Parts: sequence; structure tokens; C-alpha cells
Amino acid sequence: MEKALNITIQATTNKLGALHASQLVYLLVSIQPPAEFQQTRTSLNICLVIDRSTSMREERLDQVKAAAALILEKLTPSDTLSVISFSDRAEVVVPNSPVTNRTLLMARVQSIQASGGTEIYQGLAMGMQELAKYLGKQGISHLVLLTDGHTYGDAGQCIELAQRAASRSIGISALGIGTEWNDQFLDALVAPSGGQSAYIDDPNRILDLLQERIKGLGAAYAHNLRILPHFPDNVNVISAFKTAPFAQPLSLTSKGINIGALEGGHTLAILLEVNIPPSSAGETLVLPLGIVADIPQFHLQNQEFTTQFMLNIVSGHPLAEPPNDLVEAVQVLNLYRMSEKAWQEIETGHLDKATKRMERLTTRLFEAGYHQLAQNARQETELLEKQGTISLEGRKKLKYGTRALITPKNMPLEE
Amino acid sequence: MTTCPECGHQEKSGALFCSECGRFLLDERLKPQAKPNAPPTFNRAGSQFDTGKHPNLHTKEFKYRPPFAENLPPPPPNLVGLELGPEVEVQPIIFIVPNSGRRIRLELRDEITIGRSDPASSTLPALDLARDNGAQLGVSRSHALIQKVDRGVTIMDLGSTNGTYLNNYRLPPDLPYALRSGDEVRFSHLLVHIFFG
Repeated sequence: MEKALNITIQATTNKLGALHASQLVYLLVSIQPPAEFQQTRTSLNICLVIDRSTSMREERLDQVKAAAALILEKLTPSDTLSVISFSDRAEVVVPNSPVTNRTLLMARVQSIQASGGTEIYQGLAMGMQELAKYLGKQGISHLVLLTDGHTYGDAGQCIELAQRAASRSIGISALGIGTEWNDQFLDALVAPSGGQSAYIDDPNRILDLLQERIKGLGAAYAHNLRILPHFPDNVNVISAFKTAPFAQPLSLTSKGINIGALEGGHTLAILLEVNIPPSSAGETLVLPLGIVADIPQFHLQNQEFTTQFMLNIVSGHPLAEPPNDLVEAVQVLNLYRMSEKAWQEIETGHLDKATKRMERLTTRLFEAGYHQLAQNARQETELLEKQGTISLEGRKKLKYGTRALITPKNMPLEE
Repeated sequence: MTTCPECGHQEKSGALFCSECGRFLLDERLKPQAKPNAPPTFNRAGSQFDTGKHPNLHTKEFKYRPPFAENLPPPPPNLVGLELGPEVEVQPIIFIVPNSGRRIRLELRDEITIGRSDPASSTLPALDLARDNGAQLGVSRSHALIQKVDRGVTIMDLGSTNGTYLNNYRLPPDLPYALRSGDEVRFSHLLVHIFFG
């Protein structure tokens, strides 16, 4: 079965100088279906959880409804769909059932009216219940949350629920509309299952994003993928970041790193930042890496594929010549982190530090040739100097803009 | 440990970029190339960056307009000493030329001359904008001068043909104006961002 997944590892170096201090190595793990693999469509068990709070009225809700209608078109009778709407309470708009009568389903979606506050937990919990009806009977279970607001008082419950969902192989994607929503919360919500969070500045983009998710999941070759670093003691993964097919920070858990699905036609790539303890010359560090996946067409569940990376410890200072792709990915990750740090500094009142960091970020973005982002960063730096904060819109543009730069440019675009 | 040559931050060996200031820490030759023509790759998920508003940003025809200069009042005739801070410890000055993607770092001891080199004459300014298409963009051979003064840094137009603009305000020739980190200076049509390192 070793042919069922192609796994390659690129590293910043395979030779490290012996040091008395710990060092960093970056690994880019790329996972692909085998070349001869015939793409088949996996059946889907989808739940749309729609925010219908007052702020969603008119254009936003209309766009969400239009997007839902087009999603319905993409689903087949072998898929199941449920729709939940929520404000300060949640309702089942469409109970989970095979997509047979589209007209009826659409009429129900059209009936959603905006009013009330935003309590995301209610919506998520009800969504989970609906998904559970077909869980395991369908290929992939996925919940898509569409919201434009902060949730009040139940963020912790939502994250716990997302962790339970991940352990039951239910993926979560979260699309934030407008600028009011809490990006850190949505990142945390999707992290346990390796799903996607995205910023929608224009309601017209809801459809593109939803369609892409549904399409990617329907064409998934493998799902519930997890990385298990079986590294020796003291060798630790410090951070993990998905760089393809979309850019998303990942969370490290004791059960490994959930990285989501391997979508059809795409490479799934993960950047790992690894800490190497002090070591002496002549040693060879073997870093075995397990990838666990469910591959329906081979009837594999929880199957582990292993590969390993060897790191030689040598005397002196070997010159590292890391592959370009890897350097560029690390560069953008660093830029992304700088913008995140600046935001943390603003939130904790360290405005001088934040301003300085934003100036540096501007410089680096210009330097790397990302002019548009650099200009945004400059505008936000100005605002920071004048008003002591950056705009919500600017923050999201920078965050999701830098994040998106990580996605390789040569990635195949469908249609 | 690796010490960042730019900001002095300590990084673990093996780090590729300074986490504090973003500087590349390996051999410059391995540094990723700037992507002046980076396409708006962002029509995939998570990537909403609208570059459509500046379709000509990376083409030669594009006339650069400082992004927020129109919101700023023209600076007052800001003579030396007027609004400068306390004794500034003079740092390296970083010039970023978006047009070419070039980034130049120069130590300011007494002064930095700015202009474009010309093989026909012997002019060789410290900051040579000939490499940034300066001749076509109207940069004079001897265009402007940055000077270290008691309480800060100033910039002065040296009677250039097409002028020096500080944050979109045209400087009268031969008068020093206060220069601050983050200022945008346009030498004729060539925009340069200036940061104190």
C-alpha cells in the first residue's frame, strides 16, 4: 500500500553543524495521490450553518442564500445536506436528507429572515446533530459556518465542540463576512479538523469560496489526514502551517497534527518548524514521520504511511542551500507572523513596538515585491500612528493577504 | 545562535529570517527574488486581495501616486530644528525603491548625496538612482542631499530639474527640511521610501 500516497519531504538542509545550542530546521511535507489514481467523486454529508443575526440582513443574507442555491446545484442525490440558521437561538431550516428535491430545499433556505444576536455555539451544536444522522454512511462530513459577527460568551464551548467534531472526523470551515468577526476565534474553530477559515470582503465571493470547498471535498482522494511526527526525544515540531491547497495555521495536539483532506488534483503541503536539540558531530538524526489517512477507494481507515528524513550532524558550519520554494514559504510565514505580532502589540497597548514592527513589515513587503500588501501595511502604519490602532479591515487584509501569499503560485486552478 | 545584523535580535541557528524585523539571515545570494510582477494570484480561497484597483502598478506606464499623500496637508516650511525630536542617535538609513524593488542601506555619517551616476561626467552620488531607471524618470545627476544635523536628519533639493517631493510636497531648492522615518520622497518621478534602520 505504499503507493496509495506519495509523500515527499524537502528540508532547509540535511547537514547541520554540531552545536551546544538547539537549532531550527524547516520541513516542507508534500502529499499527493498516486499518479495513476482515477479521480472519483466522494459522496458528501454537508451542513451549512448560517448566521441570520440582524447585521446579516439584505445583501449579505441574500448572497448567502444565492450561494446556498448554487451549492445545491453542485450536490447530487448521493449527497446529503442540512441547513441550520442561528441568531441567539438555532433552527433546523433543512433537516439532513439526500439532495433530491432541490426546489423544496431552496424554498426553505429562502425563508430565512435576519434578526437577533449572534450565538454561534447554538448553530454549531445543532449542525453536529444533523451531520450525525449520516455520519460514517457518507464519504465526507463537513460543516460550513457563515458568519459576520462575534459570538458572545460561548467561544470556549465552540472550540470544545470543534475538537469533538474533529475526533468524529467532521471537518469545519468558517467563512467570515465583513470585518466584525473574530479571526482568531475562527482560526481556532477550524484548526482541530484542519479546515479553512477565510475572509470575505465582498459578499459576491461567498459563492466562489463555498463552491471551491464543496468541490475540493467532493473530489477528495483521502481525508482525515493527520501528521504523526515520531521524532526522537527533544526533537519537537514548534509550529505547523498548511501551505497548499490553501494557507492555514494548524494546531499541534498530542494526537498529531490534523491537516484535513487531500483534495483531488491538488498537493497537500505542510510546513513544519522543527527544533533540533544540541547534538554532536557524527550523529545521524532519523526523523520518522507518519501520515494517517482514510482512503475510501482502497477501503483504508486510519491507515498510517511512514516516511523519514535523515539529518546528518557534522563538524563546522555546513552551508545550507535551502530550496527556493521552501525559503519563500518561510519568508511569507515570517511576514504573516510579523503582522500577527503587531496586532498582539496593539491589543496589549504596546503601540510604539507595534508601529515599529508595522514599519518593518512594510519594508519587507516592499522588498519581497508584494507592493499591494506593502501599501496596505503603510496605510495601516499611518493610521496606527494617528489613531493608535489599525482598522479591522486593514488587519484582515494583511492577515489573510500575507497568509494567501504562502499558497504556491503554480497550484493548478480548476476551471 | 544567529544574531540579526540589522536589528541585533538573537535567533536560533537554522532560522531563515529574523522573527523581529524580517531580515533574511542566510547568504544574500540565496535570498528570494523580489516579485515586482507578482501576479494577483489570489482568486483562491483565503486570498482576497484585490489588486484589480491598480492594474498598471507594475508596468512602466504606471505613474506612482503615494498611497495616502492626498490625505495629508502639505508640510509647513519645516526648517531645521523646528519639529525635530531630541538628540537622535543616527541610524543607518534604508531606501526602498518600489520601482525596481531595490533596497539600499547606507550609513549616515555627515551626508548622503542622491542623484544618478553618468559615465559622461564624474558624478557618483552615494545613492545612485541610475540603476532604478533614474535617467528616464527625470532624476538629476546631483539631485538632493540628506544631512545629519544636531537634532535629526534633513533633506534638501539641490536645484534639481524636476524637483524633490517630500510626502508629495515640492521642496524649494537649497532649503533643508526635516526628514523622518517612513517619509516618502519622490525624486522627479522616482518614488523612494525612507526608513531609519
